Amino acid sequence: MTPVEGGDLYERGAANLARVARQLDERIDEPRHAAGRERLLSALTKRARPPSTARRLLLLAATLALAAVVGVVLERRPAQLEYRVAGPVVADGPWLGVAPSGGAVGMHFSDGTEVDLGPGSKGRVAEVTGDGARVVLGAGVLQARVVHRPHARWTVAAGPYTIEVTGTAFDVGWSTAGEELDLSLHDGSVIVRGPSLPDGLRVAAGQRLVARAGTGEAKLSPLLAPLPLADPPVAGPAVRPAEEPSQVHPTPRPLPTWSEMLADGNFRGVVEAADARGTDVALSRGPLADVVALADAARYLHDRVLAKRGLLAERSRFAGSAEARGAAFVLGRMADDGGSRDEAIRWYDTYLAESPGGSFAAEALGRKLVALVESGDTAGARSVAKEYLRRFPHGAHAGYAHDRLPEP
Amino acid sequence: MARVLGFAENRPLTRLRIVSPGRERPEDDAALVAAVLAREPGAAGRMWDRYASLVRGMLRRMLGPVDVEDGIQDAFLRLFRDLDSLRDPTALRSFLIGITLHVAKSELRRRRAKRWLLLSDDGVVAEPEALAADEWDEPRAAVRSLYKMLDRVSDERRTVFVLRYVEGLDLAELSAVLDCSLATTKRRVADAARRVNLLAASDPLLAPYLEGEA
Repeated sequence: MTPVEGGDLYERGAANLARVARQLDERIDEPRHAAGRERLLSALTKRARPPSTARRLLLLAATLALAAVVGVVLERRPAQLEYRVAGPVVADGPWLGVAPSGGAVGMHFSDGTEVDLGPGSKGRVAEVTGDGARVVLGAGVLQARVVHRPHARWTVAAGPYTIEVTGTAFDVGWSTAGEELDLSLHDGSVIVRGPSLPDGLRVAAGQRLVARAGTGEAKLSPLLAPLPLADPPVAGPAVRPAEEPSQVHPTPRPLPTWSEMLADGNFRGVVEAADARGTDVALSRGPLADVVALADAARYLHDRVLAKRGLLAERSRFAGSAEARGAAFVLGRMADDGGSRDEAIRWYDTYLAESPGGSFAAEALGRKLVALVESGDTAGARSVAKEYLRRFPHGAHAGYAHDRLPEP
Repeated sequence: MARVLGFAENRPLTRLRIVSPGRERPEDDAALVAAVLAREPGAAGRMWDRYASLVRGMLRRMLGPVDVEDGIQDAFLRLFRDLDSLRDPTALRSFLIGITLHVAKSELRRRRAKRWLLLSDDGVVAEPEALAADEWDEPRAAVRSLYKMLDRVSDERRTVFVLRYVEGLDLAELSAVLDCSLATTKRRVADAARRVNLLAASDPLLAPYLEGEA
């Protein structure tokens, strides 16, 4: 056999032999594929090792201080919503857990919807479609701000209850021990179904619903007011009045922190506590957590003056902190919503400069783009549109940015 | 504490409502790399969706009928760790193949060390971790024989054999992955083919495959 003949023979033999190995193909069923993806994304969230260069190390350290951000895609179709998880996630099987002493964990969806899990809570995204998602609250407190869109379909499940949402903002708590649902509506309305509520109960803005699965009890009351325990039940005959009202309201923990009150939705309590201490003193000498809680509580109560004072106090007293950097974005959004576009753009620029890879970078840049367009700065808007598409080609404002650019 | 954004504020909803969804455009590798580096929401998941099959297939065909899930995770974590060092984003696929090969070779070294320790202990060669029954079909015996045979060749020859003949990389791509010249690549391909032919010829299960008779 000549070398050439031998080479051809070996070539053919190796190629034939390779057929055996090809039986080990890459086929994988979708559940295993999805499980691998979740495992990877969870590992990326928890990974503490920084990238190689000093610049990346600094950037990551700053970003981790604010939030550990990972991207998650549940479906391959581009039309599917996407979401990312930000915050100190604690893996708990399929659940996203939040340490009792940690900060909130946020789920930021590509349509702008935000779902936050409070300290000590656990939840998961069970399903994502192009129109919304199904979020399961395993225990604790969940806060949601669902962006209203045509055909939007969002559901939050807590125990046997489901909350159907099209566009609204609400807090919901679920106690596994007491099987108690506690829902507070800040905006819009939702339909709640569950034990004693088979036909669904509409809960509107400014209302609070407390429902207990064990007894079928369900009570509506005005938000931020004591629950009217003596009121008749709101649902049909299946709803029984509370036999022991004291069980509906567990004894509150003594002296909750302002952050805990905020997580519980007790915004008025935070502001009243600040009044008692002296708001000026709280803002000028209080710890960072209290200042953040007060600023956020004021925002939720639409007290823009107090909210802005709190945010500015965060920035001046705790400059360089994650909270101070995040405050720049919130200040921009408040100015934006108040019609002060120039001020909004300055704050967005501040946030983007301080947190170029921050959790709200995409939204800050997108909102800056909208503000520039609305202020008539066409050239500036085009420049920002290009930057947005370069950095966030699939972001929530991508379509809007495309529309700002001339046709090729 | 992490800031919870203003869920009680209404105006942002109005603002976001006017934003139209992004145009659907195919995302090339360069755009995907940019999105991951920008930590764009969903980018890491898209990377997984696009390349998990490639990594899984390569690892299985490099390592044989064993569970490779840990290896896949390792490859992707290395990819995300080192992605900022990728100078040409269009070369993402080759970059990932190189990382996967590194993971596979590490596993082969680990196995070899384990096998050596076991041999020194009681003379028993450790078998690869078996796959679950639903992981792959017949003919299992030929597959097992092939990978037993590949355990007897060097990592370099094994890599060349798998990439060239199993994965089907052309010589140019192979030389890029191996980081050697085209001429050297050809020599290494011929050497690997000769070696596996000689070993397979003495294996009653594999010999028929050499002639295409199996």
